[in-house]
Amino acid sequence: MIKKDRIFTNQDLLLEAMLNKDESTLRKLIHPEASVFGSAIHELEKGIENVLHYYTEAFALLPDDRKVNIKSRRFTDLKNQALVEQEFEIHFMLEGKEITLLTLRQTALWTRAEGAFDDEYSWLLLHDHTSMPDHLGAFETISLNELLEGNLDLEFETENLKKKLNKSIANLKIAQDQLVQKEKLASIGQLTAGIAHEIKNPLNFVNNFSEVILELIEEAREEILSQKSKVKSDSERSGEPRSEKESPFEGGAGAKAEAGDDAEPDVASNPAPLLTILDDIEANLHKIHEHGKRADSIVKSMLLLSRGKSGKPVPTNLNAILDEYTKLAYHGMRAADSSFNVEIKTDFDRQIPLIKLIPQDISRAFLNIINNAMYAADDFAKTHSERNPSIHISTSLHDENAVIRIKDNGAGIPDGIRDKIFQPFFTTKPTGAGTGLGLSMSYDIVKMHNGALKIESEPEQFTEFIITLPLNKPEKI
Amino acid sequence: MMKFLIVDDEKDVEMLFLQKFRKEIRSGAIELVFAFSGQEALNILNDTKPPDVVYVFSDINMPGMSGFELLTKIKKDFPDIKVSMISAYGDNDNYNRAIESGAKEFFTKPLDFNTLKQEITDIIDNQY
Repeated sequence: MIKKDRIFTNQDLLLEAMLNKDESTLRKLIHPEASVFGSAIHELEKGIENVLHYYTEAFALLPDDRKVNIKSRRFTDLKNQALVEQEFEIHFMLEGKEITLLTLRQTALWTRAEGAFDDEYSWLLLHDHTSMPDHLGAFETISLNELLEGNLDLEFETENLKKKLNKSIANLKIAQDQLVQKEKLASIGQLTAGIAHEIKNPLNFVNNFSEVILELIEEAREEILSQKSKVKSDSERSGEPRSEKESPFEGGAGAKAEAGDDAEPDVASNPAPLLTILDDIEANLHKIHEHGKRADSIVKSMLLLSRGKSGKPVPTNLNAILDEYTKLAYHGMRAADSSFNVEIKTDFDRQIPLIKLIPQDISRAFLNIINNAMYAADDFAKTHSERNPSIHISTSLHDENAVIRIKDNGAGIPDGIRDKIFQPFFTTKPTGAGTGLGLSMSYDIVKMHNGALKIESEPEQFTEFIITLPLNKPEKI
Repeated sequence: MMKFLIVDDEKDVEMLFLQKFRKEIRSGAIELVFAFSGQEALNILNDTKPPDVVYVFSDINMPGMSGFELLTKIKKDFPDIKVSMISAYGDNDNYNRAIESGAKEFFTKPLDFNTLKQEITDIIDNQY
């Protein structure tokens, strides 16, 4: 290898070892009597240990992912010595961008090692002067200690900033959680009236059917007593032993024939009126049970909604949830504004199997979207009297997905804001009417279920939210 | 025989009213007919001319035509028919709106059938 190439190779090795703080390579490349001088040193450093210290410490200040770019390089052959003059830049990467940190000029004197073979260690660095070019404004020599102190200050400052940043992030997380909780509470607030109405209806039946049962029991009692008294009077008249006619259900033909003076002549000997009463009582108890369960499920879904934490996916009847929350949304809107009205059409595909969903989450998403649809339909019809506000909710099976469509005939979504509506805090409702979190939460919930949420809309005609939920990927939730 | 029309989207209302008024129905004092939407109620009223229904009890919160709309329509087309409202929302707004729109009474859910029976008895007594 010719001398020039060998020394340039050594020069590259030296820079690389400096940048990587590779002390063992540096030791092999540096002459024991070497010295360094430059912008980062305020007096000449002499001897291999001092030079090593300078190299390793000075470059320790640089960022980790640094790299060197040689701008120009000159070689002067001095027989047993050689001079390398070069200008190079040190870069580092910041968020994918290459930033030039330093531009440096270096003059390095290499000397032949005594008795060495022609390998990379046959030439050793005797002197290095590295400084910043004058035009970059670095006239003053900066001491290594100053640099180190500065670095410590920087580290301290960085540490402080990190702590502040972490605290800010933690605060933001808390604020975000609080907002989400607030949105949940707001949707419960919207629902409270709807829920009250929905509970009062089954309660109306529970109270009144049980009252009817009490009346029916009283009626049955009167029936039995009147039959008894008839049986008694019959047996007294016919002279038969009373014991055989004790039960109203054993009325014989004789008793029947002689009960002619009663408004209902068959009663005394016929169990039919009592059986009818029993049938009514039984039917009423079924109704009480049914409506009791209905009230129970409403309270349960309210509790699910109010719970702060997310639940577990369970096999869920999609149609039932949609149906229930459509009613709750409707009554919620109706309670808040008695002039509110919207026609609801539903079209549920009964073939949809149970799907593993987190019921409280997915129902919140449905509730938000249905609420928006009802609001949009009603709001548009207020200023367009020819429009009959309506929403159409349908479910269908498509490949391995359940597809839910929620369509309203409201104002539609202008193209300009279609990409914004899933952003947190974006709302077109008047101040105070919406938090702007509903749709972004709905979007997140659908995503969490490995589903998709799409919008189709035509201004002044309709908006349709299309939610696609996979049937068979519950393990990913 | 006086004919009363009950309007409510809850179908079980029919079973409940038929049992609650079974004595009055059996004795032939009243007849009850049922509609499960505002539109169905108007259809029933338009069936016979003039309508043989003398009194309408209507729920307010129903999908489609609301009880208030029905009330306004009945009062416009058949001013002689009495209308009372039944609602789970017993607030002042609903009450005032009902009375201002011409409702005779305002009943809240859960229904107290004693007051409802009293109302019907009064109507029957006034008739004879």
